[in-house]
Amino acid sequence: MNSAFKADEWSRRRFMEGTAKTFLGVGALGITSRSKAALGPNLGLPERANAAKHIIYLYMGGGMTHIDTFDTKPGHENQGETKTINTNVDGIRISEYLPTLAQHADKLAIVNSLTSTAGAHQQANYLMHTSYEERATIRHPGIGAWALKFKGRMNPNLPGSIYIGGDSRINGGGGFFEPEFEPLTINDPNSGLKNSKLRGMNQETFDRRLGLASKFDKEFHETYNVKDVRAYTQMYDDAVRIMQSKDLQAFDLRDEDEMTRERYGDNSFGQGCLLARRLIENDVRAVEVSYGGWDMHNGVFINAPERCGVLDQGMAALLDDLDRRGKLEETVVVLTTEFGRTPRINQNAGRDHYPRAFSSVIAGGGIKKGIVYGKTDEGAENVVENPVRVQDFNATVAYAMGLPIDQILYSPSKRPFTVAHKGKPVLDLFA
Amino acid sequence: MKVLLISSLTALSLGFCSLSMAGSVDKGKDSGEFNVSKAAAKIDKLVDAGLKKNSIEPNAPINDETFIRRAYLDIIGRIPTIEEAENFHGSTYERKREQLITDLLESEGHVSHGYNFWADVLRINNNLGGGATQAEAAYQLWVKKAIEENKPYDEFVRELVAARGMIWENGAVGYYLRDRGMPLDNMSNTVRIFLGTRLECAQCHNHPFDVWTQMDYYHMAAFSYGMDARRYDTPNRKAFNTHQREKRKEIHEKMVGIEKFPQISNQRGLERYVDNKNYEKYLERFGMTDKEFRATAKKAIEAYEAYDHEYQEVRQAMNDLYNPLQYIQTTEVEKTLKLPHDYQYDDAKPNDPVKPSTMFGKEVDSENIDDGMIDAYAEWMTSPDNPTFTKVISNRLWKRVMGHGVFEPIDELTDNTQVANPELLAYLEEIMRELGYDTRKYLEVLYNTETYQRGANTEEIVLGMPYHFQGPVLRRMTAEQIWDSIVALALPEADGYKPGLKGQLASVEKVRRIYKSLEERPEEEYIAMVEELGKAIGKLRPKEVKIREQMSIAREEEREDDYKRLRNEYNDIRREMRNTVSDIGYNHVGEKVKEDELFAALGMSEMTMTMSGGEMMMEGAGERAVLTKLPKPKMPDPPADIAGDKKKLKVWKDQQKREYRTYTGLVSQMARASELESPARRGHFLREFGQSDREVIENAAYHASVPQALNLLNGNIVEALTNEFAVFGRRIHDAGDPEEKTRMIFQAMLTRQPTEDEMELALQEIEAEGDSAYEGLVWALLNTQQFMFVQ
Repeated sequence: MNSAFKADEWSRRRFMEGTAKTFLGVGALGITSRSKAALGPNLGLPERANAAKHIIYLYMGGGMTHIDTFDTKPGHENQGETKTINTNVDGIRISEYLPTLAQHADKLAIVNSLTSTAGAHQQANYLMHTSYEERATIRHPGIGAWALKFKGRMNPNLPGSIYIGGDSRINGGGGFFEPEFEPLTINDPNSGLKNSKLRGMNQETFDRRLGLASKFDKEFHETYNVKDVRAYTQMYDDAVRIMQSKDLQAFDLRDEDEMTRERYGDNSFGQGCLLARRLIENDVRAVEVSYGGWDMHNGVFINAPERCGVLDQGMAALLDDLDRRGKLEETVVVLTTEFGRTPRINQNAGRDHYPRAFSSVIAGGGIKKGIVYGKTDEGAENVVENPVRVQDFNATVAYAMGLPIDQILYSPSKRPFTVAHKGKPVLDLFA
Repeated sequence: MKVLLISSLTALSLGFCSLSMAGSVDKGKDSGEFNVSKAAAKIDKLVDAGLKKNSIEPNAPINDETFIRRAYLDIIGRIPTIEEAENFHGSTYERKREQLITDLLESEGHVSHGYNFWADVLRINNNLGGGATQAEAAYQLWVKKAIEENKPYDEFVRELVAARGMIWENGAVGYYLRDRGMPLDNMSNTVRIFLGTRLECAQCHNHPFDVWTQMDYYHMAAFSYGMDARRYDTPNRKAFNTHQREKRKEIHEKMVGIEKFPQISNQRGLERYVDNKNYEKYLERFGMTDKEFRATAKKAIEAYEAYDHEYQEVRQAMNDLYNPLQYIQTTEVEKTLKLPHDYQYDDAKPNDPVKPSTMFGKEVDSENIDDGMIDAYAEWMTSPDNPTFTKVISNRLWKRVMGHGVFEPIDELTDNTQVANPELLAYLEEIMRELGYDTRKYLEVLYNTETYQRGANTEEIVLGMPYHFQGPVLRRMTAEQIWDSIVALALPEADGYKPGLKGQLASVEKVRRIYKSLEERPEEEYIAMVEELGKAIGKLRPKEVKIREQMSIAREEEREDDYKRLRNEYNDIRREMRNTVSDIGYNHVGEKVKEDELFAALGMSEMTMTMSGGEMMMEGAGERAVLTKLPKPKMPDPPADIAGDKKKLKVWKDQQKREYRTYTGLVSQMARASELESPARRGHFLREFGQSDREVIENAAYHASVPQALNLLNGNIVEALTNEFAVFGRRIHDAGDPEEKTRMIFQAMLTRQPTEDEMELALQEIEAEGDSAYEGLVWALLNTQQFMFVQ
């Protein structure tokens, strides 16, 4: 093993465990119990008693407008056409474009005071996903990879981290961790895990042909009895096992009745949310559902209602189901984006990039419910109360998952990194 | 126009026509200054000495079957086709291995494979978005051309590190455009790739495990800090900004009527004046009371609004105009690098300016340089005297050939670096210098060693322990090697097939023309054009605003159909606005880019292949021909026994049509990896098998993962191979009895004949399964580990 995680013996040993076995691209740490001492962060934080097991990360690519979603400013000239509606929590009011979520506001912790200085898409997206500035010399892992690194996989038959979305380039993947921490990509939630079904042959033929392959390979295997070759033999066994595993069914949305599927919305984001729920229920550790198209330089009052409609339906159905099934407390659901949008409307009736103040939401995982944290001024232009940096936001999510925020891990180039880059969790958000 | 039979062309391109002329290999080798065979022999002697010293036996020499597969994979990145293997085995020329090595190194496939190698090192990514596509295309083409021309390595590095100019003049500027906005990281990467030294830790503090200080880091960074890859401020653009300022001044003076009254643009601006402690002095200067000042300021604000009203569309037009020109050049500007604000060491203070200074080797006198600072830097870096430059490339290419470096890691030289065989390394460096950094010749030497032509090691390589080269290392194929091997089995002439080239060339040319059309206009004409464009877009604006309003109402009233209709209208008007930019701004220059001109510029010609009398014919095969479209395969004749039966004939024809549709569907996504999106998208076969994401240096992966197995077990690769219209599928189909078909399948997939046992197994399978067994055999061989490892 060439990874030089040499900083301290403890973390090195943890890594050896973490890479004990290769399967479906994820190191099967298993459900090892962690000693309490290992959790002891130096921030003097109280230990999270019932830390969340899973994370569902809903990412709005392009920069979700804050003033037209969770931080509306009725009566202010910046507001434009967007109207504000009441929610099921007294005192919390959000955009009219999110009517269903408004009925689930009692599950949400809305953070309206995120602030950063990264105003370009890629850099800001990267920062949000990793807590680090993008560098050309290193790839930083995302929260899902960190969670797997610290807590391991839960279901040996399924990958530990899954990315659902169409982006060819994703931020916050496995980073500098071993390749098995890279998330498995599902481009289209409706078609499930690629190539997992027999193609043009029945099981009997498949088995016989596979037997043939192994006979053709006999001499080769005898000659080259080395780790890299054995890894392939092992991996074929794993692949065949997953093809026959009933857990594979988790990827098949056709198991859900029509009504449920419609409730999430007939679009890739909604179906992605539904798939995320099914995967969590099958003990996948981390799922990201990505939904782009928020870069509304033109016609924000045309585009925001459309995007919001999809978000509203999918996220509300997800929260509702997780709650009813008793999964919300053990799952952190995060809704976030790279930055907000200029509160002042531009001449194309659009809004431009605005990192100075923007909004995100956390739900579940022991986070307070039905609250709004932080505040911007009357025009949604500046944070005036409880500013939250991107690192702090991510530290909050990591803390909700019980990850050791201060634990330093070393990259193969021997550089030290932590899960949220020295961010401090917002303790006020915890119930 | 030359017309050639495709089968003979294959042989030609590999130089086998010269096999009869024995001695062609010797020419230039024995008579020239440099003797490849002698150099190879000396390497073998040094390797053998190293083995002896460590009491290790060398592996046995490999046979021709193993050699040809390995040579094709290592040199041109794919397995040999059946014909290529037949040609080689059929030759009786005694130095045919040498000949093959030379031919492969000269071939198109070597460029493709070499590109993949360097793309991983240089992190070439034409999927970065943000308007950088053309810059990346130009960079990619530049690298391919450098490999094709066999540009000496020192020159290659100098041209990258000191790259300046426009992307259409010098694609090497992509080296800086790749890392735009990250000059310090770019320097770390430069030093790591070319000098084998890891500096990135020293960016923030002294290196914890090496000797480098943060000051060393900044001294080095100061050399390339002036390399500027940002948006270009053109003369015309500057002229327009000046013009705009003058306009504003004109309107302001006219409406305010008081000389030198400040250009206040809004209420907040006015308040800043009023709150200023010098406000009284202002009042005095203009001889005004507070009330009068405020009244005049109001006029100034009105003037600004009038100006803004007139110019807001023009400003928007400027943004639209320059949108495609964001990443078109790199220049060297005067820029002083300063230490970070939290610099913590005693040798300087935070924010102190830093002068360029080299980290080792000869010092560059930065006060007295002829060209740019960057040229002096590149010169220092690539000098044969540089302590690590030659060492690193000699070892990097040695690793490329043998699978393991003489020292490892290849890009992290420190005082503690263990060199497995110092005499060998010294000699490799000597050859590299003697060859003047001719890397192709250097590779030729290495491939001709006995060391290379020995069996792959059969024992575990212990990481961190020196390896003494009893034979090359057993390696899993790279993602590109697996993919390209499959492509070459399915497509005709896969190495020369470049379906994306036209588009890449055209995109760079289009940007050039847009740039010229904007910048070659005289200043007045340019200003008039921008104003005209602003007016034209302004004319469309009310319509756009109106549609927007209507949409808003339709949404409120939940009239879904109206809303949809309006949405389309809205998209139309936005399109019209974009077209207006092209009409007025660029005179449509980018729309019709003549393709043959582009090819001519690259010294290529486009090739077409046609079917004629059952043979594939190629036309226009000049010096270097490029196939941009696949030839349509010939429809086979119906079997003789159904020729007269209309019904059966129809069934047969329908079946052929289906098969053909499957073929076109499958191969429409196929070309060698170097000719596809680079890197491929996530989820693509290439990425599943570990193609680098090109985010960090050498990020390709070779580990096993379940999606790989699933892909080979249940994906569509076997269909692409065995389809009757695919090259390999046609061969299987046309072959004679089951034995011949089996031999052909083994030959194509594993580059060897089946053993007796294997033949028996195959025949049993065919007996039991009938015709579908051939597909089954291909499937089974594709899923062997033999297929995936380079022995």
